Amino acid sequence: MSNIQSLCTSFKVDILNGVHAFSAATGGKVSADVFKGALFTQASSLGATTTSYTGATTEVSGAGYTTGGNAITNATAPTSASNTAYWTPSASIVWTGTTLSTVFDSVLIYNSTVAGNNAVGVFTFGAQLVTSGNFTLTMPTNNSTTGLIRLT
Amino acid sequence: MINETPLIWTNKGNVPISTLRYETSWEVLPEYVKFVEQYYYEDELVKSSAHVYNTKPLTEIVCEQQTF
Repeated sequence: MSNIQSLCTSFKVDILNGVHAFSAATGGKVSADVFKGALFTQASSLGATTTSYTGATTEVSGAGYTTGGNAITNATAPTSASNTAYWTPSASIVWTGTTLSTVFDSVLIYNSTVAGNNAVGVFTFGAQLVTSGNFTLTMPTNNSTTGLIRLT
Repeated sequence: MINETPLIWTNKGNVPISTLRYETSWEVLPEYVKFVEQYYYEDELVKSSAHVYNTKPLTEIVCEQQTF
């Protein structure tokens, strides 16, 4: 089992179907959808074929971690520059005072507003444990060359 | 009298935080940079945190327009 960093293929289909609203008043929606980041152990098989968050048993668990992960701060609407559209969460995803005793190495970003918890993508960061501490995923600069999700 | 020395719980009882050994490590890869900090009391890992900075976009989609 292993997790592979990738944009989920189903997300590409979702884009064509107008499933996700990364900002308000898009796709016929009056407000932006809520996106979450859930941490998964190395025993998972996340990657391009992942279609949704399902609450799999390989999601991490422990003190300070809520099943389903943390909501992503999304205060910056997608935009574009130099023919590239991009979007990046507007704040780090942080778990504080947590203990995660099973080795984890990935975060699944998904849309928790839509009924199917449709997947967006998988980001890997190497094997990690946390003991009574914090785990922080710091987002890259939101621009056309380093934004977390870029459509070129 | 209140003891204002900050303590932290360990398997050997509460000890002053100042007695912990602090260690850091970095993991620098093209995809991410990870900073790990760990606090030890003797050989016991009391506290550890990790901070990841994503240096590579999640992925890219190449949008192509087919011609007729």
